[in-house]
Parts: sequence; C-alpha cells; structure tokens
Amino acid sequence: MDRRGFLKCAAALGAGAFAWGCQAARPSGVARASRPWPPTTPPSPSAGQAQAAQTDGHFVRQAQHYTRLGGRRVRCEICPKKCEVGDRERGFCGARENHAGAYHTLVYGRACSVNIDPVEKKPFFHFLPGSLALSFAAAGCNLACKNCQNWEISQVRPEQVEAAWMPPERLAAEARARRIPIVAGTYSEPVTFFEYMDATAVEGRKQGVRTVMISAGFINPEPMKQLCAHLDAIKIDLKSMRNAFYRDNCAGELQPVLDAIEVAHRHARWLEVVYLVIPTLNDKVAEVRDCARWMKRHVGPDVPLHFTRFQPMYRLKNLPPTPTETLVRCRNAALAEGLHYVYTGNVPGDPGENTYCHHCGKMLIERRGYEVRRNEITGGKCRFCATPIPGVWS
Amino acid sequence: MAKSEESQAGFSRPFRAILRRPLRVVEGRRRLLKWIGAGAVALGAGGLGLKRLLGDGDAPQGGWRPFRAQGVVVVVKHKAALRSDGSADPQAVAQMVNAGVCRLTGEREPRQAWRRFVRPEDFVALKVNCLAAPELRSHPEIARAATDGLAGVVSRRENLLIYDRLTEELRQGGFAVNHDGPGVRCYGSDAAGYDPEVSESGAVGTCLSRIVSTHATAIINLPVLKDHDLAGISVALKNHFGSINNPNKMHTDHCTPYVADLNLMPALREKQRLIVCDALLVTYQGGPALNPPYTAHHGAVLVGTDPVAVDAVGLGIIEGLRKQRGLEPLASLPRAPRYIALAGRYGLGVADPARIKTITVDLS
Repeated sequence: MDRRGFLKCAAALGAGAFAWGCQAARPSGVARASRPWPPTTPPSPSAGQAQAAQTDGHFVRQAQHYTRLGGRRVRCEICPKKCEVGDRERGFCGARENHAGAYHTLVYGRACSVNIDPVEKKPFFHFLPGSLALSFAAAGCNLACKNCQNWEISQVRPEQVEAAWMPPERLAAEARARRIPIVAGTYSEPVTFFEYMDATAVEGRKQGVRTVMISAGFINPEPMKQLCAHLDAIKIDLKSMRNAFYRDNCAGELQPVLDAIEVAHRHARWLEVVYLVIPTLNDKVAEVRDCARWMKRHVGPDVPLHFTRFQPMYRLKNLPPTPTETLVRCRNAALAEGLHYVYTGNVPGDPGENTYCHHCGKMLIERRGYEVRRNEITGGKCRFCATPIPGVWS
Repeated sequence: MAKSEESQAGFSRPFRAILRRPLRVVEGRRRLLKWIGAGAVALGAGGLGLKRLLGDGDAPQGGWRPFRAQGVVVVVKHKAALRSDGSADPQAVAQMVNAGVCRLTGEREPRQAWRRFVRPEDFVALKVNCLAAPELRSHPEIARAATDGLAGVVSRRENLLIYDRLTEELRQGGFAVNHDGPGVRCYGSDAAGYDPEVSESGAVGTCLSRIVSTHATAIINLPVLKDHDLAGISVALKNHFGSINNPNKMHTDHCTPYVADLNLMPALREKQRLIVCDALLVTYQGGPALNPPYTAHHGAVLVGTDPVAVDAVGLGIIEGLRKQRGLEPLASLPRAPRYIALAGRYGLGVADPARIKTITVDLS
C-alpha cells in the first residue's frame, strides 16, 4: 500500500465524504483510549480529527468462530494458530480480544486505509479487467512476515493506527455511488477482520457491488467457506512451498494455506494466486516447479498464478529486489509445468503482464503496468479461436 | 527527551578520561577500594545489611554509576499492607518500599538509597502494569512511594512519568492521568507514540514506546506478581511487553524466547535501574487477570536491580502458593516460564534460585 494513497482518495472522491476517513496509515502516537468495555471514553484531546466522533467501542463486536474454554479463556477458531486467549488478552493478530470469556473483534468498520486502485493492482487479471476497486483494510494480521510491505498497519495493534468508521454498508454505498464495481478487502489481512470482511461482502451483494478479498490464506476451512459463499473473488498469497519458510519468515504454516487455496477453488466464484519471489529464500526453480505442479494437480491449470517482485522492507532489508530475469524464469518454469495463465508482476512492459489464449496463443489482454490497453475477450471467449477463457469478464 | 548514545551510557567525561589511563593505575585503585570495602563489610554487614562494596569499589572516583546488585532480591512483608477491603495502606506500602531500597543498597536513609538509582538530571519512567485493571494492577500506592522517593533526587517531579501501554488502562488502575500538568506525569504509550522504525533483538522485532526509546533516561520497573496463562508468570521481565507496540506477536511458545530477547534490547537493559514488584495481591492460577478463587493477600514487595532474580523469586512465591492449594507446579506444565533461565544465560541476571540471595524484611 502506498502511504500517500490513503490521502489521495479524499481528493478523488470528494473531501467532504472522506475527509473524516482517509488518513495516511502510520503508527499513531495519539490513538484513542480503549477501555472500559465496551469502551465509551472519548478520545484524548490530541487525537486526530478523523477520530473526534468515534470511540474504540464503536468498532467492537462479538467475534465469530471461537470456542469458550474454562476459566474465562477462549480459543479462536478463525485461523490455524487457534490462539487460546486469557481474559483481557489478545490473539496473535492483535485485532481480537477476550473479555470475561467473550471474544471480540476490535476492528469492525475500523478502516485504517481506504483507497481506489485498479483491480490489476490486487492483482486480479481475470476479474473485471480495467475496473476500479474501492480498497480497504483494518489493522492487524495473523502472520508476521518479515518482508511485509504493509507492516505499518498489519504488524501493529488497531489503536496504534488512525482509522475511520466505515461500516460495510457505507463501503458498498460509496462504491456504488461512484460507480466503482468492486470493493476489496486488502493491504493488511482480511482474515483478522473477518467479521468486517464478511459483512462487507454480504452488503456488497445486496447493493450490487462485487466484493473481493486479498489474503495470505492462513485461515481455517469453515470460516473460509463462509467467506467464499459471500465473496466474488479471492486472491491468495502462496508465499513458498516450504513449511520452513512459513515458520521462519512468516510465523505461519504452509499446509493450511494450501488447504485454503483448495477450499477457495471449490467454493469461491473466482480465485487467483500470487507467489512473491524473494531472492535466495523461495526463488529456486525446483520450488517454483513444486508450486506449479501442486496447483495443476489440486486446483487445475486455469487458476492464474502471478510471480511478483520482492522489495526490501520491514525486517528483511538485507536482500535485493527480485531481478526481472528471476521472475521470467519462474513464469517459464510454471508454464512448462502446464499452467495456462502465469504472470510476472511489477515488470511493466514484460510479455508476462499480458493474457494469452491457452489454446491458440494469441494475446487477449495487453497490459502495461495496471493499465489495460487492449482486450480481445468477448463473451468470455477468445476472439480468435472461441476458446472459453476462465475468469469473470463482466 | 532525546539523549545521545554516549550520555545514555551514564558515564561523564572525567570518567571516560580515567578509562584511558594505564590499566595498572586503575587496578591499584581498585585493589585499595576492595580492601576498604572488605573492612566495611566486616564492620557493617550485620547492622547495615548487605553492601555491594565490591561493586561500588569498582566505580572510579568522580563518576556516578547506578547501583547494581546481581542476584539479590529483598522481600519486604507487612501484614497491614492490604486492608480487609483489599485496598493498600499507603503508609505501610511506603514503609515497605523504602525499607526495600534501603536494605538493598545498605543505606540508612531512603533519600540516600534513592540517590543510588537515579541522578538529578534523569527523566525517570516508571512502568506499571494495568492490563487487568482495576482489579489486579500495580498498586498506585507503590508507584506513589517510588515517585516520592525519586522526587527527592530528580530536579523536578515533572521528570517522573508513570506509564503503561494505554492511558485508559492507567485511569482504570486508579492512576491520575497527567499529560502536561504540574507534578508527576502519567500517560500511556498510546499518547507518547512508538518508534517509527523497528528495533530487533533475537526473535523480537518491534517498535519501542518512545517513552522507553527517547524520553526516559532511567526506568523503574513496577510489575505485578501474577500467574499468566501462556507465559507461566508475568513479573519484571514480561512487564516490558507493555513497552512495545506488538506484544501479541510474542506469546507463541509460551513467550520464549521473546521475553528474554526483548529484555536484551539496550534501551531496556541499560536504562532499567530498579524493580519494585507488587506482590501485595497475588493471582497464582488463571492469570493474567484477577482470578479470585486463586488470589492471595500476600502482602509483600520484591525489590531488586536484577529482573531475572526478581522473576525467579516471584516464581518461587507463586509455586509456593500453588502448592498450598494442591495445584500442579508451573515447572511441570508446558507454560513453565523457560524465558527466565534463558534470560539468565543471556547474562541479564541470575536465574538459579540457589545462587540468589533473598533477604526477607518483615515490618509487621
């Protein structure tokens, strides 16, 4: 996420509508008070203008998917960490808190970042190409990736980031009013603002707005199925095919992510996968081939796979950005394994940005960065050979 | 207030000049001071308590060094510390805290004892624990006793700051929030902010509270002695989870190695001068919030400069209370606080109870 982007939306959409909502996502030294429960204390005098009308209690809702244990303890069932949380404590994500044996989300409607992005930026290449997405996030994450590019909102607690009250109905209404066809939960980790994400998808469907989720996929099957039932598309980050990478770099696990990809493939309307290539850590051809083979076997050759470039960030600054040659090599290896739609991300001008018919090989969508320059898909089919092209095209 | 790396080390310019002198001159001075110290121990140990003369004897002339007593914990008890309604008696608590620092330093007068930990120019941050406020938190009476003692040393009371993670938690804990008014300041890291850059130490990557990284030149740790459902116990070492922005990321594997790695950070390790642990009311099962069926009026305060030793002694107290109630020892459970031994191996203090000198003072 661009730090400036949060402010740009105010100018684009009307300062009046978003002045209270859009602020640069950054660690704040002047967050509001968050006790008692539910919190009702007005914010400190030095709190930002955006918070003037809100208190932390505004954002608190009873959480879904948790189990009450004895002694006022709970076990969260949203993600494989299955945090067992004592009274007054939070789970790993920092966005859910236990009070006297009842688990709560702290971030319902608590948007710390709102932006308008091209859908290709998510990246979705087979979902309404050329469309805009009203993109939002709440603070927190159930992983701790050392290379997180959005760590300033993902690796902090909600009260440390300025946020605005943007309930699901408001998100959908704003998108609809501006004829933006998509609302996207993204930037941090929608799994940790599960209730907010799910409600936004439900509301979006009511108001005729498509809702998509961009996630690391570290989520349990049941909550994932619930999201799939309401979402229109999901993009999952497959960070590596090695559990050691997930353990050492992300404080996570590989298998649950693979399971989530399969669940999304079976239950979601559309799925795309991103593999962020990090030099020396997950860029070996053997690993990339493992990824392609797994995808072909478990979700089929038509699920798009994006190889994107790593940038030094957060706690992983000692490695260089991914060379273009590496991304091209990864793409070629995945295509050689039989995947139909493989892309190189963040490489403007590279052929890997474009969509080619997997049957006749003709270029169907020409892209330059996030811009769609040409689209030869008509009625969901290749214009040249009439082969159905998997995706959501209208 | 921003401090340079040099001044945070606590050594004045004359002291650094002394460091550059030939080693044999320094050695000779050290030997002389050791003899003096040995004599003073022989004369005064019984009446004045343990004096860390060997340590003090190492201090070159003309320089100030904070008092350190590795492996020493003073446990001060007072039956009247907690009233029948559970509130703390301010006078009894003040007696306990002052008796603790005096016994620890060997000073007769509290004023002299407090001077061993801070200097007039210090900005002192006192880290309390209000996570489970209002029922279970660092008693304001203990913080008051500490600030009263420190106020006699620092140049002004406004250079004392009581802090925790959230301002509202402090308020819930009965502390008078004071951002910029006269007197002792009191607010949370949510008001002061966190470092914009990440600090790393071992497995820990975090943004420190600016109170710790920038504002304070000295830290007094005022933890609560209590059970913790994941960490085993929460005492001095874990209290600094409230000095960082993302403690939620550090409870995996029962907080090991995170607690130990965090306390290795220079901003904490070098600035922390004293621990005064609130063991007036001790929850020994089902923490970190108050768990009434397993909470004892213990009526004690633990005083030391060694956070590892304080934690080890605190663990012993909790194990004793658990044993009385027929509970399994923490040492036998997955949540046994292994980070204490790890912190000891890191050199942060003494973890082995057999090597800890526990001095009990009963003011009842």
